[in-house]
Amino acid sequence: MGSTGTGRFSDYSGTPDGRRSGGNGQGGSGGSGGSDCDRAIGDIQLEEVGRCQFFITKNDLPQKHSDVSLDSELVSGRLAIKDQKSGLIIGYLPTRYNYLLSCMNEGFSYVGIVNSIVNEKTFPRVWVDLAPSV
Amino acid sequence: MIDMTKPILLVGNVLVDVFTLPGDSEKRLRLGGIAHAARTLWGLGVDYHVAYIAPIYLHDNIEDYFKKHGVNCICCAAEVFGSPNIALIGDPTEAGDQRYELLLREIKKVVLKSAILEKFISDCEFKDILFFPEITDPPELISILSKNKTSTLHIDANNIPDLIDSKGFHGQIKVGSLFLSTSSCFFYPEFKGLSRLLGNVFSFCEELILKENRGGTRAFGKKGDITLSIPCFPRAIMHSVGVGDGFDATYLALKKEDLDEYALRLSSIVAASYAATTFVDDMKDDMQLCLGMSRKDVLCMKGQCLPWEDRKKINIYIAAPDFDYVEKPELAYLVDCLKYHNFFPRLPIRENGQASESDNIFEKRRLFDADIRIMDECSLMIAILLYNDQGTLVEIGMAKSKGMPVIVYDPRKIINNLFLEILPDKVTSDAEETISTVFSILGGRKFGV
Repeated sequence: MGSTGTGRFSDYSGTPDGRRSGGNGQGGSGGSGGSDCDRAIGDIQLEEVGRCQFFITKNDLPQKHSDVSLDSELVSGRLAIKDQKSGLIIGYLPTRYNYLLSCMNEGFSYVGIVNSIVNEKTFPRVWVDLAPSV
Repeated sequence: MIDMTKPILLVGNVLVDVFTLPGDSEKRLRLGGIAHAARTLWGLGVDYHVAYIAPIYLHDNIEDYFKKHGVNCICCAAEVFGSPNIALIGDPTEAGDQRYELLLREIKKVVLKSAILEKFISDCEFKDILFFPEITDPPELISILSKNKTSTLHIDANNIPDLIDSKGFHGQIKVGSLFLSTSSCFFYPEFKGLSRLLGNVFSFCEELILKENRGGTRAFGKKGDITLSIPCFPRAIMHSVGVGDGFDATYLALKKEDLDEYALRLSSIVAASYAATTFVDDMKDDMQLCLGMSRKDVLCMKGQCLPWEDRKKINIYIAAPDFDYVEKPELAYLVDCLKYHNFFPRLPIRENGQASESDNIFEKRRLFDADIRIMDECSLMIAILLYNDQGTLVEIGMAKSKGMPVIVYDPRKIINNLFLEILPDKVTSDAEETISTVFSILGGRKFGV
């Protein structure tokens, strides 16, 4: 499990301890990384919603369950989530999801829905769920 | 695929890192020291050699591990006596001080195998040496490395502040890239000053790479006043052990010239990959994905930047029941973490005084006014919930209505209210997540890099 336990060195490549999915039953975590491209990501709070196209243009937030997609190109250096209907940017993914850029280079694309909104005027917020599109 | 003409030679101690990750019940054990740089180079598919320093009981394990993870040539450059080279790491995530303890460090002795090392160096082909010196290293070691004329010596100086203050041991050595991080004793517990650092290092190195943890990296050039600001591209941090070493190795593998911005940025991305997991095959897959990013994307991708000296100017309001009759170890710990990263936490009760039941209305108004003034001087609030303290809850509401970002640190997991759960920018019971969010909110504001 990525070096769990102190009996011996165990984090060798090609062994069950080399991957999170190795499953040697010892429990514990060890992290993400690796083949996360094919994983769905739930409940991502978008950043800069109040300064993005959708809120500025419509003075409102997308409705719950609206369809969204991850733009395949960086927008101002960031990964942007667009409303599929209008094409407007709703917000940006936090930088900890920048690895999705590498995934998109490998041919993955991501779509999802708006799962929640909070239309607080000074701090509008949108949460989305994303999954790789088939 | 990285285009390298010759391998990198890694020189330094191999340690045994012992730590417990958040959420784990068991301790973890893995090879550390130069093994971090080696692991990263293996993940990138870059050839490397190793000249290690370790006690004899580890030699078989070390050579076995490196041979199974891509090493070309390997030798024992020096033997350790008196110390098992075991490092206990109290906080592997580096929310604050990692509380790094090298066992029996005061009686550690290192005996150089000069003839073996010199023959190894002459037999192996390499262009760059990446050396991680320790204060216990025999002085002859750096002399042997620096007199090799067919390669460039690069040093990670985190553990030898004398190198900086002595200006490269009074000019005895010449270094290409000098790496330093804000985890080193040059910065904490007492910062010795950037001007002193820059004034000393360019007498013996070509460039200084200053790694600033979650605040990014700065690169300073010898020629002129060039400074590059490289963002941190954070991932979910599983650990912060050896991440900087991986950065060093990646940069040397990628760089085509001094102050190579593309190489620095991609090194920052790869370092985040190293921090995201302890599973080596997952790490390798992830690093290969990072290498697939286009040059254009690497150069324009936004991250977070927060230079060391700038943080002291950032006031962070700590809303908490900081009363003298309350047991508050979580508050003390979080304040220490903020100070470790050079932020300026403001604790209104300690600065303005604690209200008491006997205070008259005029004293209460004075205290309230003084606390509000502190709040107005702050850029961010961290509210620490130890119990349902009325003052803390009101302060959260006040801060949000002013448009101030608020992080709620709920170590005792007591939140049970809709508004309290949804209103703040972040609610977490994890100290590392609290600190990472501070960097994300404050460092992410600078979108020009």
